Amino acid sequence: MADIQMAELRPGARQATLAFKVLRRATFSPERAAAARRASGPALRLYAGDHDAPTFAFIHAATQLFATLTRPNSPLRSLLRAPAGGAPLHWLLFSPQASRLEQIDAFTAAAIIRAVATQDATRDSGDPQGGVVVELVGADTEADTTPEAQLALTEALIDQVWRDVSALSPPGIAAGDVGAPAVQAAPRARTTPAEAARQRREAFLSRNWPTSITVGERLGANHPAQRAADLRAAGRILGAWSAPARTYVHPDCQFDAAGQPLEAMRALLQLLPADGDPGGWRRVFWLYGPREALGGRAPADLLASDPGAVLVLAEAEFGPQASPAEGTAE
Amino acid sequence: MMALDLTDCVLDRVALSVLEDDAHWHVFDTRYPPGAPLDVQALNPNPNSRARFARPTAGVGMFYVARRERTVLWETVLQHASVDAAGCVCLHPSHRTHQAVVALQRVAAMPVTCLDLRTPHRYRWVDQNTPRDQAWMASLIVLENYAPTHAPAENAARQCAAAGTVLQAIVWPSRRSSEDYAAVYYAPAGAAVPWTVAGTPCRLDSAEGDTRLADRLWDDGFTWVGDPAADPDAQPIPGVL
Repeated sequence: MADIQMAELRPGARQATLAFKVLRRATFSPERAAAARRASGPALRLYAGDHDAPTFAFIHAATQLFATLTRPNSPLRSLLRAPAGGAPLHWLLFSPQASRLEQIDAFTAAAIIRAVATQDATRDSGDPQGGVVVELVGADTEADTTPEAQLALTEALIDQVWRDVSALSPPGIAAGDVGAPAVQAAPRARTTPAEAARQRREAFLSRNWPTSITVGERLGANHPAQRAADLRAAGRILGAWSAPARTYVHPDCQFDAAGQPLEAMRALLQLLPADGDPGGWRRVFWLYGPREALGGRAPADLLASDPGAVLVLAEAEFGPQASPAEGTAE
Repeated sequence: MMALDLTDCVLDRVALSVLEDDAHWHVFDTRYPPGAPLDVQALNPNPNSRARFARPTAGVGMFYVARRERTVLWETVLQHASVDAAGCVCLHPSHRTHQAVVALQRVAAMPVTCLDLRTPHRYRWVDQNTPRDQAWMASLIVLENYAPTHAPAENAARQCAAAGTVLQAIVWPSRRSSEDYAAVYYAPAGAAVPWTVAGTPCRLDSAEGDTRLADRLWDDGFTWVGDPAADPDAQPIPGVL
């Protein structure tokens, strides 16, 4: 008898808990699921099929998918804001191969869960090729609160899940963008490491980041270039040397709309190693590299919206507790 | 941080395997012991590890190996790498400073007994479809803070000792190279290490290491992005603002 694998994330006061369960296909019903939902409180659940027990592959895939679903700007968050037909969002179907997330009703969900549980394709690998049913148990759905308040509570739930799960999500799905899946590049000529670095640097230079003079002018300085140099020296902003322009340019992610340096840059630049990097490019590359711990986003993407996550990542990599003496880390 | 309850990670029965492959790869720190030759440092167990399945309370020295070079690179220095959609792999150079990779050969006369967490090997020592089985699987998805995995390793070692055998290694499926496994080898003080260095260690913070990383990544279709600070064009002109 094929059974159903379920991964469940439940936020708690301090931390979320992650559980993997097997549900009996024969007894699974939307009514039972609803009862369990009321009993459990807020949770995010994934359902996929397997013949006996949660497999490592399923656990691996589930943790990836939790991160994909809850990260900033995820499709789930978009659907929350604008659910189809205005109905509360409880059930969704995620199709990994099509990278699509759609709202479904309870009975469709139950039918898919039962059907997926019988698919041979999912049994051995644990890979949810047939689609994963996602159940979102919002915050206090039974309470007499306004839809806006419930939405805010549910978003807070997703935020917490995101913070917790992004700390352990493995690379892969989480690094991709569900709405715009990455397409593997066509075979290309091999470039040397130095050439690859040069190409990357030139790509950044083509972004026309503000020069020292521009940075200083935006701040109303009498000596704009000197003002930018002072800010670099004080560890308030990061500059990258542009040989063609014979000046520093400054990644725009570190400024607010008024041109003021983001406060988080002060702490971040204390963590990122500056030794051996007078031109700033090592730190620029780090800033713009998509990261597993950020759900596939780059630190530059989150500096303004979630600086805490960026600082946690930098601390983990470069802080005093980051021990390179382990030899290996796993 | 995610809470994972690993208190149930004990063995239903003691049933160790023998590490099946002789050749493995290992990344090590070139600072320890200070001044020692690389091939000595390569086999220097680390008693201070806090990584997956370390046994810090027992003070047992240990090191990690993988069957393939690319696996051991992804499991160690490249775990901090960023990978973009085009397959370009970027790593801050500080993550490979003082790191070297080397091939190890197991001494033929010294089999390594191991607890194999891979499926289905795991079922030799834990009943499948049980909460305990799931707890062991959960131990494999812990990231960054590996402290919860230390007690299970210590428990397993104690159970083995009580049964009159020695747990020399734990093997698990690599998270970062799905066709391969990683393993931790425990080296009690004074015990002979059942490994020899095969070939010349390669410093990953050298030009040779740069090439080595580029080659291994290219094998899988990735492009290694070198140190941007190494380009003279990336060096500022002194005094220019």
